[in-house]
Amino acid sequence: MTRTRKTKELLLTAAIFICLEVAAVAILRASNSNQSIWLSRISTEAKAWLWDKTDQVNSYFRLKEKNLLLEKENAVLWERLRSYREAMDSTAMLSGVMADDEFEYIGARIIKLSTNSQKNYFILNKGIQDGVEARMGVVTPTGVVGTIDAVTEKLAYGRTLMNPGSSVSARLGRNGLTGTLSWDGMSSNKAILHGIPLYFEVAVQDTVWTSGYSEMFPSGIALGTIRGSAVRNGTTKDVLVDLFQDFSSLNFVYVLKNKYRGELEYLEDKGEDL
Amino acid sequence: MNRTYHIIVSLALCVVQILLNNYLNISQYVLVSLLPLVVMSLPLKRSTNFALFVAFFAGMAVDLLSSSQLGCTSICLLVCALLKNVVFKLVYGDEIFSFRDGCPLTYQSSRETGIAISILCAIYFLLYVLIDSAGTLPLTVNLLRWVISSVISALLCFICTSVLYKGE
Repeated sequence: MTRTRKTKELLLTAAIFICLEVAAVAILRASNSNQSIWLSRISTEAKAWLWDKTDQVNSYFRLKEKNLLLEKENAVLWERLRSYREAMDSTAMLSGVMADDEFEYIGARIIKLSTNSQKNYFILNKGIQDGVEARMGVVTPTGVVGTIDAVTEKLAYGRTLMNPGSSVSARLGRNGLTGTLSWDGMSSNKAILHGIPLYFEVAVQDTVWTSGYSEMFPSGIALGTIRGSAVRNGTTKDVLVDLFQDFSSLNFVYVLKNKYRGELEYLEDKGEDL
Repeated sequence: MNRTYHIIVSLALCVVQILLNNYLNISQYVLVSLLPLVVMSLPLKRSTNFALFVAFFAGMAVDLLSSSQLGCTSICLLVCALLKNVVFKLVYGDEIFSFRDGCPLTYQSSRETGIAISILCAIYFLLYVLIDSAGTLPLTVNLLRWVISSVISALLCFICTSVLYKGE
């Protein structure tokens, strides 16, 4: 009771103080031109400060919206960058007509990710309505993440490269031999490139790239660097690769949509029929 | 000391202040004011709201009847009236609020009274110098005006307290 009364008294005092101060300031402003200009300047500065702070708060609450916009812009820019890289790469230039705009990039966010089991997977917030389909590749600016296995209207399920069922066609160096890259089964950033002939000299620290032989990934995506090699069954070499992509810190990814996929599948079917 | 005496002293201080403003122009660096004492000498049984009204009307009366800018004294004195109890609590402690009658400045030692007067004079002149210059004077001049005016006015207020409330 006493506390409520004290609060009421305090509020009344504050109100009286503000009223009297405002009255005094108004009188001062009306009767003195110097003070009037000075007060106007202070008031303008205060308003500018307030508007600036309000704008900052508004910007903070619009961050999510801006993030999505940036994500889309980033996807477009990344697609263009890759096209330019392909155009500059003479091997890619010779390889055919699809070098320029073979893939479309769809920005997506990982909403569920498993990294601690033997069969690791991810779920994306994009699905059929965003143009995502099964058997599409998923990448980030630092490397390959995995492939899409199943899609619903709004979500997509895929296997990461940290899954025994996942593999990527990879090349040693820009013009080296190709093999199949798959997870080493233990660490979150190491993989093994299988099927390298014994005669081939493997250079440690050389970069491993995607070969572009698969319809899911374009060529020229850097996957990792060579750590070492070992002979397997006396016939081929296994190359241990340190991946650039760290699977423990994934958030935003890009789904790769091959624009010529239908034609490629048609040609493959025709070829099998022959 | 009764209520009438307090009213007469407060009115006398206002009249002296009007005379000081009109006839005493020592230097542009020296401003003299006894008005913080008008607010400080109000008995503690009077509420802060009452002190606010006294500050507003005393300030207006002095500004109207002297050459100072109308409204300026009221603005500064209102802040003093609002902060007076906080300063008393800070300097004297809670026990000062048990002396509800008479001028609160006379209940404590000269040292503590001097500190309380100095703080309120410093607050009063900080605002007064800022409003009076209205951004036209350099910072060093304003600082000098503030320090000199606060010291001189605090001394004058202290002397007035000793003389006017000697018997309490």
